[in-house]
Amino acid sequence: MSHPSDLKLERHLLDKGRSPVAEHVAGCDRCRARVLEMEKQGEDFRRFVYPATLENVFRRRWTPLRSLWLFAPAAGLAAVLLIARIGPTFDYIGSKGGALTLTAYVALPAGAKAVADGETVPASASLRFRVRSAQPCPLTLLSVDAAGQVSKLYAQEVSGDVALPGGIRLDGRAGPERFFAVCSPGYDVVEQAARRIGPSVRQKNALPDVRGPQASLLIEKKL
Amino acid sequence: MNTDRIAELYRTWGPAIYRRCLRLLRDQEAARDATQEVFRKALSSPEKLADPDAALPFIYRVATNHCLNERRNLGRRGETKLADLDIASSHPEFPQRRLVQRVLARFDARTQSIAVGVLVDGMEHEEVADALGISRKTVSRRLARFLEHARKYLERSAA
Repeated sequence: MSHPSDLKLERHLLDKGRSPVAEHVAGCDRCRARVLEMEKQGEDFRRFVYPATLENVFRRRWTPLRSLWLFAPAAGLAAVLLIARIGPTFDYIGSKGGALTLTAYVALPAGAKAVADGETVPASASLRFRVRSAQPCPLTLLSVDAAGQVSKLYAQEVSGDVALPGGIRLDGRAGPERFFAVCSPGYDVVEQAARRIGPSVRQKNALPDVRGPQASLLIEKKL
Repeated sequence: MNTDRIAELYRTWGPAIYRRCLRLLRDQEAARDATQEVFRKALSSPEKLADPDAALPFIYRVATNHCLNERRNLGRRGETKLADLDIASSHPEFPQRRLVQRVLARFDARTQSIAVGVLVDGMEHEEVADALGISRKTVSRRLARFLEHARKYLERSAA
């Protein structure tokens, strides 16, 4: 039995109503499963890949912004880097001095600016992040928005003062969004904890039941 | 093109690019990196991204070339070992269930794209020709050459 190629299934996903393979897909277990898998991969792109890579997509085309980012540290902003720092959670078992610091910068027409906790930023603004960890840290950086939607932004080993590569672009929707940086192995545990935050992102500044240092930063996105 | 328009195009076509890269690289991190690179390349022809009929074959072509190139480069540098590609449609002259990288790497970029289109993606020759912007005759000729050389290579390797 001949099955539609992925390219045909991509067309099917774009417009199922006019898809010439809709009838086949409806009656074919294998193709239905493939379509479901493709839809899940599309959702993964929207939630994880898009926010983490959009800034990179702009970067080579948007030299002035890149320049702003490069000059920001030299402009002395390092003195006000610390914009969010919370104490360890009740079950913190990290080593002494292993606290984690998270800093975010927003790109504004006037230049790059460190964001204070709870500060209002344009809803479509570009952000970059810096973390500082005294100990080697299996870092997860994710965000939770007002709808409780969790987006994975970074998962990588860091140590010392590290500017995370690339950046993100906010989704253009007004409302609060909180970023959580956590030094904890196992992304799944961190993500599950983030899901439990739900829409209470303004109130909850730490992920529950996650071992290891963490820091968070709240922003208010404004249209 | 302003950044809002670029972001809109990325939202629209990014999922298809990501899926294509996942299919060929079989590694989420590699696919994530490749997706932004492919989209950047695709942005050099914004008129194609703006045309829904032209965009998908164009994306398929750019993503396929990029990801197969990435597989070649990773293989040469001996870095991450990428998984071999599953065969979607069995071919009488290529009974293997997987298209292994050491076989694929023996051919030029266009032949690789054709072999992947037919064997891994299960596309008809005409669909491969349309997607890659080449003639059906070229697809048939290069595929025949691929199958013959791949068979001989595998027989030699097994001996």
